[in-house]
Amino acid sequence: MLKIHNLSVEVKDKKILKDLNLTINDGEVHVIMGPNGTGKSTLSKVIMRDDNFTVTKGTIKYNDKDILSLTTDEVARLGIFLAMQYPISIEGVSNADMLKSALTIRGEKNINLFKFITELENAYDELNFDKSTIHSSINEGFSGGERKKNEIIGMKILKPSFIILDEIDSGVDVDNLKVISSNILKYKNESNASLLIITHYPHILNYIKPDYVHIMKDGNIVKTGTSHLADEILKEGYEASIMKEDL
Amino acid sequence: MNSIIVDKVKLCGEKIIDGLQCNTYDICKDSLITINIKSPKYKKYVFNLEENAHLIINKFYQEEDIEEEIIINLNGFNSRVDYNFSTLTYHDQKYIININHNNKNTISNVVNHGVVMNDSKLLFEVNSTVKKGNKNSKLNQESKIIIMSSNNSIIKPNLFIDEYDVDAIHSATIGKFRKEEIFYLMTKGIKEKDATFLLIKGFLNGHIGGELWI
Repeated sequence: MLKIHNLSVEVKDKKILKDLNLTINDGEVHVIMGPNGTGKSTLSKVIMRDDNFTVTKGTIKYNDKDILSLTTDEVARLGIFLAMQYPISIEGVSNADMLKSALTIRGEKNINLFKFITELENAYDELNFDKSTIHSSINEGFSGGERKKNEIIGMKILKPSFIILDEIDSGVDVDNLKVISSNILKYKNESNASLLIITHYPHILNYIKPDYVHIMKDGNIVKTGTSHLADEILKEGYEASIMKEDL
Repeated sequence: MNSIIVDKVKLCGEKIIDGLQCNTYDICKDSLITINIKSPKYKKYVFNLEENAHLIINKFYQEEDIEEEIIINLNGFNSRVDYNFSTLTYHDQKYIININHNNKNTISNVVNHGVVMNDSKLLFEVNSTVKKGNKNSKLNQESKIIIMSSNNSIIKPNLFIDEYDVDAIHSATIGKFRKEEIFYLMTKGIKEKDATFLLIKGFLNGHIGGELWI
């Protein structure tokens, strides 16, 4: 269970998150939607302990562990995975090298290389991704959609229990969104992982049904509903959806 | 290191050679020669390339104080050199690379990558020269230094070109690994020091044939 309590966050003295509260139980799917610049991506990065953000108040606990006292890698090793909005490219470091290092540090000192490569190749196949890039530099020369697929390959190998998808649907065409979504859903069903989906558009929710949809505005969650809220946002916009009384 | 001229050696055909056996090499017409160098041997060494000769140098050092000068003479029409170098250092090092485009249609591609682990001084000086009349020559210089502490390093990306009909690119970068790179790797569960090691390894290995040099 991830529990965020009264979280306030600043960047260079600018308040981004203000007394934010959110609880995500094991296996639940939560969606955060909201206008640009409202703090959605900030929340994902704060959970991952990006030191560009200063937490001025509040707590984040995952399975009762205080995340704010941990480093980024320690948070990841708790089982929290961030699929980034803009996955960067890294010259000279391959996907295989990165994931092998990540598994080794997780305690699998002598990882079975055959098993690792087989699993990695399967993940590439399931994402319809070119296997020849396994040993190429991370994300180098990849399109936006390919970078998002690469994040999901990482998810399948690292097997997290809590997954943050920060605009996994942006820059992805319809066919690839279907492939990405079906892989996420399959993994979620097999592992009972929790999902926190940050998005502007409800298309991904055609494939992954949320338990809760939250609207975030000015650094806080201002409305929570079911998947119908996402449809309402698409039809009427954020402001109208926030103002509308619940039936 | 030795600065005395040993015998000049002529290399012909298609060959891959490990290490330097002398400090002057003549590369025959139409040859493709790859030389992999893992430790310094001479303070100064020279390569003379004939027509259509292609020389590939992959060099990786992990040594102490070094001062080294290399001269590559692209004497033959259509001759080409690809010079790929990486160094990981805790000590002062100075490298001067002189590329002389002495004929038309000559190509030089010089890539230097260095990682300085402390406050030591690393110098890359690349001097690419094209004299008037040596048309259609192509020159590329790319030198990057990653500093792990304070910067005392210098890159001199010199182009001495006296001919209009030439394609020339040069770049020089000194800096640290991007914070986002470390963060990205750490979000996968990799400790900061291991993430840094991965980045160093990738930066140094990436352009020298993708082999595991460190």
